[in-house]
Amino acid sequence: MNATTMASSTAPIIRVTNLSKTFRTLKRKPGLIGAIRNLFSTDYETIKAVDDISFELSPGELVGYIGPNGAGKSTTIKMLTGILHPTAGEIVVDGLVPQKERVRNSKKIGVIFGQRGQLMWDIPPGDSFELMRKMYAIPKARFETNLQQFIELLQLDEFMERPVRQLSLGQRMRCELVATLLHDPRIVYLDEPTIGMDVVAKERIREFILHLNQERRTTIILTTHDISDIERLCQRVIIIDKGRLIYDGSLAEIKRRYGRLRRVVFSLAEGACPDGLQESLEQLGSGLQAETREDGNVVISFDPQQVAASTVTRHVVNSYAVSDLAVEEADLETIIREIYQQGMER
Amino acid sequence: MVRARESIDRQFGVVAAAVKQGVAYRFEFFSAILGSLLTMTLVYFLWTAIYNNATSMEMSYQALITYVCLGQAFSFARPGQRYIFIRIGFGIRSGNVLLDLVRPMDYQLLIYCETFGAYLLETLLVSLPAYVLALFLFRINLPPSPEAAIGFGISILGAFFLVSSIDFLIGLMAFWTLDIWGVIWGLGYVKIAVLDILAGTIIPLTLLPDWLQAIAAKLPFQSMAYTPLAIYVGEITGRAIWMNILNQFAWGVGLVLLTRLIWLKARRRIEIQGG
Repeated sequence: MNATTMASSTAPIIRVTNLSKTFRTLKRKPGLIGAIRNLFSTDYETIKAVDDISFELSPGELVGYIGPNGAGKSTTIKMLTGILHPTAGEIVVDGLVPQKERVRNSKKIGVIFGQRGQLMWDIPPGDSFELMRKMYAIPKARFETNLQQFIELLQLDEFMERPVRQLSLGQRMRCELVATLLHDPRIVYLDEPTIGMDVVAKERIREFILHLNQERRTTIILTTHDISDIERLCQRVIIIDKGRLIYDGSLAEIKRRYGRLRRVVFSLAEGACPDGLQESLEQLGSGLQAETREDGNVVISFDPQQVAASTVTRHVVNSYAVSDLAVEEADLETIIREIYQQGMER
Repeated sequence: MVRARESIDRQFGVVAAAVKQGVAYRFEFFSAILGSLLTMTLVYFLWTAIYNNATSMEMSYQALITYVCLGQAFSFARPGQRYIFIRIGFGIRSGNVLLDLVRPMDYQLLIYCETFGAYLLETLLVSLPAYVLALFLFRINLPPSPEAAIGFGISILGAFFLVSSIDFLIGLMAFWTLDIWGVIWGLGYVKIAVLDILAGTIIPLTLLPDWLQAIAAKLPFQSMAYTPLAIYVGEITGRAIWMNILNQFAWGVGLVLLTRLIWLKARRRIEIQGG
């Protein structure tokens, strides 16, 4: 949409142009007979996982790449890493086409697949780090400084001696991050790095991601289902749905454009929603909605571009006995949920 | 030069990691040594009984017992080996193979290095102790000549490439089948059976009927057990040792290339697991 406005003076580090990916999968029939028929079936169905997506990233950007399940986020990441080949379109990552120069590209990138572990399960994480040192030919001195710094930042020393299988999800993810970053990748793809974690563990990971982006100027693409990850970390988001790019721009812009609904919450002396309130509200403008919440408060939602909050408030305060009121803005989570649900027809 | 150094370092790194992982399952080595000794006892009594009732035998009793016991000590059917093809198969099925594919290293090379690490560890912690025990318990022979000893060592290494290729192929089956524990685990047993019969682990190939010997001679399996074992006991001697090793390495190169071809074809199927 407005990717060009985000481009700064520096050349983009990632350029994705008209990227598409179609999978051809066998339609599988259930049951025993179906299983036998599947052996000979030629009944294929084509799935467009990624459909004509274009975007650019400047060096040092941290971009949220979000969308509902099955939107094509992971498929895009897999193409960016060079594992999957695009059906159409072009990817250039730091001057390389990842599919053509997979090995050279792999040295510049780091990848976290939140649901998969790269650490060796039955031995301490240090052994996996050591493997990464050899794997990426990291100079010894560089390796030591990086490791030392990561251990301090992520507070790993309390469990460095334990085999990975004994670590908690959060501890394991902290180690996963270290294993991914020891070779100083310029670009990092984080596919759901906070999945399944408690609030404290999430926050620790987020702080570290922020540090990585701000101190090390690492370019980061983050996919997540946790909108608070996005709110905490990203200035820019790209939203895709059913393989299509539906939004690319700043977080603030999303709120401005799609956060149409605002709410005023009233505590009325009479308790529930008085008769006639809805009718009288409709006189103020279109799209006003009054309802009673479970806690007995009355919530009026409206579009601030149609009616000013002050108008709504004045109307209610003048007509009823109001003991308390608060103006609420629609939170990002709600906005995003609505965007997913509508598939953004606008 | 630097790139070659880094590449070798990388391979050593993977081998070392596989060894470290293997050591984590210490108990398995004790049970593997015990298992080795038990099957040795079985083949020992079996062949003693056969020998006592045979009218003529191609091999001397002492060579025969040495052959079959050694075959149990240096078997290519150990748990670590099975771990490898389950690792490949499971990785492909679950999609965890992605993590191996983002590395600056060829996947096949990575797997062979891991297999080598597992095999190295088992040679040191299972095969050699079982062998030393067999020297005392079953009074098996030492190699008759330094040539036989060296030939055996090289030939065991040659067999490694053949067996790893087969393990890799079994693992790759996951691209075509959905059932790892059935198909892949099952093929693992087929592999063991093939090694026991056509490779000559249980029965030295020279004792098989001529027609079966002729078939075995045309297949790569005999290089996986018969060749190293026959060199050790002195069944194969002199120039024939080196001819056999050459033949074995030719098969090794051939199978590695064939495996590579199938892998490159299978690799494209990864796309289906995407999404």
